[in-house]
Amino acid sequence: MIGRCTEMNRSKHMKRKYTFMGVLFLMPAIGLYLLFMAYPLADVIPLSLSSWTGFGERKFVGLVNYQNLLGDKIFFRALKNTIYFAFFSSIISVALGVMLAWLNLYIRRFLGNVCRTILFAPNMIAPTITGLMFLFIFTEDIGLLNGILEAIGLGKLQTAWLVNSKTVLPSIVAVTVWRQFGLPMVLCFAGLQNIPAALIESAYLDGANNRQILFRIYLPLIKPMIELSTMFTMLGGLKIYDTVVALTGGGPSKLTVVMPMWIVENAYAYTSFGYASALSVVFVIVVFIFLIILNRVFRGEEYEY
Amino acid sequence: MKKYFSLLLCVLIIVSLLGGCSGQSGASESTQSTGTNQAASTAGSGETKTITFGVGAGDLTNELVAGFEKANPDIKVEVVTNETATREQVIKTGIAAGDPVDLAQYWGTRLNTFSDIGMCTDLKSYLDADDGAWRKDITEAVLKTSTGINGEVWGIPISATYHVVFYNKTMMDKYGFKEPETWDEMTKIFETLKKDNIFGFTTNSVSMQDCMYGLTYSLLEEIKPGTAWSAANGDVSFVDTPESDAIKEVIELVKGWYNKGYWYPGEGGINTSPDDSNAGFAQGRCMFIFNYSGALGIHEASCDFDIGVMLKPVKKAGMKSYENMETDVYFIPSNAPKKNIDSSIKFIKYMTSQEGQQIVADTRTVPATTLNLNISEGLKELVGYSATGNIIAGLNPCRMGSKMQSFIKQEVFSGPCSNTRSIDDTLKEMENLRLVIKSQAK
Repeated sequence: MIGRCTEMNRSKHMKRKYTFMGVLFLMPAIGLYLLFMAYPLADVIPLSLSSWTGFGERKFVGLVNYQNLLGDKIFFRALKNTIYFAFFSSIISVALGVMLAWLNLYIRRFLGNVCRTILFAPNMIAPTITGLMFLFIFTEDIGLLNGILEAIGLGKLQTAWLVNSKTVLPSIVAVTVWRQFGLPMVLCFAGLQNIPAALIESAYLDGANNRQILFRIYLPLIKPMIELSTMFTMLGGLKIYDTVVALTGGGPSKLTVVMPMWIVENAYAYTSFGYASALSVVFVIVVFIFLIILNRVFRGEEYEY
Repeated sequence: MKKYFSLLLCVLIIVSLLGGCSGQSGASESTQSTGTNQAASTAGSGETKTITFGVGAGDLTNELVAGFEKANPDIKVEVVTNETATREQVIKTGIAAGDPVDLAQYWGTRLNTFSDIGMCTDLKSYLDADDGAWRKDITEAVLKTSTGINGEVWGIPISATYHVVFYNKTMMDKYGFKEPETWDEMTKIFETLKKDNIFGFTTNSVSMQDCMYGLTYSLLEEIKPGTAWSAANGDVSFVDTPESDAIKEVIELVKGWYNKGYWYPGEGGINTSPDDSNAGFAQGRCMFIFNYSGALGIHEASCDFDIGVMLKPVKKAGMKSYENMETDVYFIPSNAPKKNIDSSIKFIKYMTSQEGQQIVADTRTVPATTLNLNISEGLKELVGYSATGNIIAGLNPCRMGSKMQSFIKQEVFSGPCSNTRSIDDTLKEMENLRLVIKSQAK
C-alpha cells in the first residue's frame, strides 16, 4: 500500500517535472512569438484607427482610414490583382504539380529522383532572383522570349510582356507558377507513393485504364495533399511581393500593384502608417475568407486504404 | 546529470535571448547605422569616429569620402547606399525606426517631405557661425531650395541638377541635324531616325518621367510668368484650366511619340530601368536621352561618341525653354546621435570647400558654390544655363509630396501611353492628389 502510494507520488512528480521542463524549453519560442508576432499584430488595430507618420505621437482619428480606403481606387486594384494571382497561380501550380507527380510514378528510381530535384529547384530560388531572371527573359528588346519567338517564326507574337496590359498579369502568373509548382509536385508524389501497389493492381485487373485510375483512385486518395498544396500556393499568391517588385515595380502605371506593395508604399513611402495598418486589417480579413472558402471546397469524404 | 545539463541549456537559451534583445536596444540608442556596425567613441579621445552617410552609389560619393578621410584621419565615413527610386523610403524607415544614418542625401526642393514632419535638423546656426563665412560660399539661389519659410536651413546643397536632354552629337552630325528647338523639329528627327531603325529618345523611365514633364514649363510660363511655379506648388487646378490644357498637350505629344515607336525600346519604354535606358543610349539605339544633368559623367564614361546637351524644345519658335533646378542636399536627421553631428558638419563643410567642390566639378556635376573651379567644356555649358534665366528652382510638382512625386515620375505618362488610363482621367487623378495634399497641409 505504502509502496503503491510512493509509486504514484513519484509518477506525479516526474510528470510535473517534465511539464516544467517542456514549458521552460518552449519559453524562448513563446517569448519570440509574443514579442515579434503577437504584439505587432495586436498593435495593428489601434494603429489603423490612428494617424501616424512613424515619427512622433500617434493621433486617434477613428474610422477615417477605413473611409479613405473605400475611395481608394488603387486599393481595389491591388486587391483584385492579389486575388487574381492567388487564384490562378494556385490552380495552375497544383494542377501541374499533380500531373508531374503522377508522371513521376512511371519513371525509374534514379531518373525519377533527378527529375524531381530539377523540377523542385525553382522553389529554392529566392522570389527576387526569379523576378530579375524573368525580367531579362521578358525584356522587349533583348529578351530571351522575344528572341525565341523570332527564331521560330512567331515574331508577330513579340511584345513588351511586362508593359502590355493584356500580357503583364499572365506573365507574372507564369513566373509564380514556375517558381512554386515544385512544392505541390513533391507533396502529391509523396502521397501517391504511399498508396499500396496492390490497390492499383486490383484496379487494373478490374479493367480500369490509366485515366480512370488517376481520377477515381489516385486523386481521391491524395486529396489531403492537394488541399495542403492549394493552401500553400494560394497563401504564396496572396502575399506575393518580391516577384512583382522585381518584374514591374507595380507598373505600368500601378496596373500590377498588389496588396503587400500598396501597404508597404503607404507605410514607408508616404509615411501613412495608420492607413497602411487599415489596409493590412482588411487584407487579413480577405485572407481569412479565402481560407474558409478553401476549407469548404475541400470538405467532404476522406478516403482511407 | 542529464537533468542538470538540460536545465543549464534552458537557462543559457533564455539568457542569450534576453542578452541579444538588450544588446539590440542598447545599440539602437547609440548607433546611427541602418544595419551596419558603428564604432562609437567619445569626443577628444583620439579614437576614430565613424559616421554613416546615406547616399546613392557613385564615383562622386567615393571621391568625396576618400578626400575627406584623407583630410580628417580621425573620422571614417561609412557609406550606406540606396537607390534613387527608394531613397525617401529607406531614409524615412531608418529615421522612424530610431536607427537613422548620421547624414543623408536628398533633393532640396523636395526636402519638405522630411522637414514638414520634423525629420530634419536645422543647420542655420552652423551656416551663420563666424559671421556667415560658410554661407557666403554657397550660391544663394541653390541654398534657397532647402531653406524653410522661416529661414530654417534643412539641408546644405553641394551640387545643382537640372533635367536636360543629352544627345548623340556624332550621330546628329552624321545625319546633318541641328539641335531641335521646337517639338516639330524634334518629331521630324525622330521620323528620320525611325526609318533607320533607330529610336528617337529614351528616359530613365522607372523614376524619371518627370524629366519629360519639364516640356510643360514653357507652355505654363506662356500663360503667365510664375505659372509653372504655382502649378508645382499645387496652387492651380489640373482640370479645366489653361494650365491643365498645357499639361494635356504635353502628355498628348509624348503619347504620340510613344505610339509611333520613337521611345526606346518601343512598347516597353515606359517601364525601362535606368541601366537599360543608359545602355540603349550608349549603344546608339536612340539619339536623345531625357536625363538629369548629373548623368553627364555617366554618359561620358560609357559612350564612345561625342555628347551634346540641350534644354527641352518648346512648342513654337520664340518661346523660352525653362527647366527645373534640383539640388543635391545633405541633411542631418533630427534623431541622429548628437555626438556625431560635429563630424557630419565637418563632412558637409568639406564637400562645399574648394577641394570638395572641385571633386564635384571633376565628376561633371554642377557645383553649388561661388568658388573659382576648373570645369570641363561640357560642364561649362551646363553651368552656363544657370545664368541664362532658363533654370528656376522648384518647378517640379514632385515637390508637393511623396504621392505626387510617385505619380509624376511613374504614372503621368505611362498611364496614357499604356492605355490603362485616359489623359483626362490622368489629370483628374492629379487634381485629386493635389486636393488631398492641400487638405492635409492645412
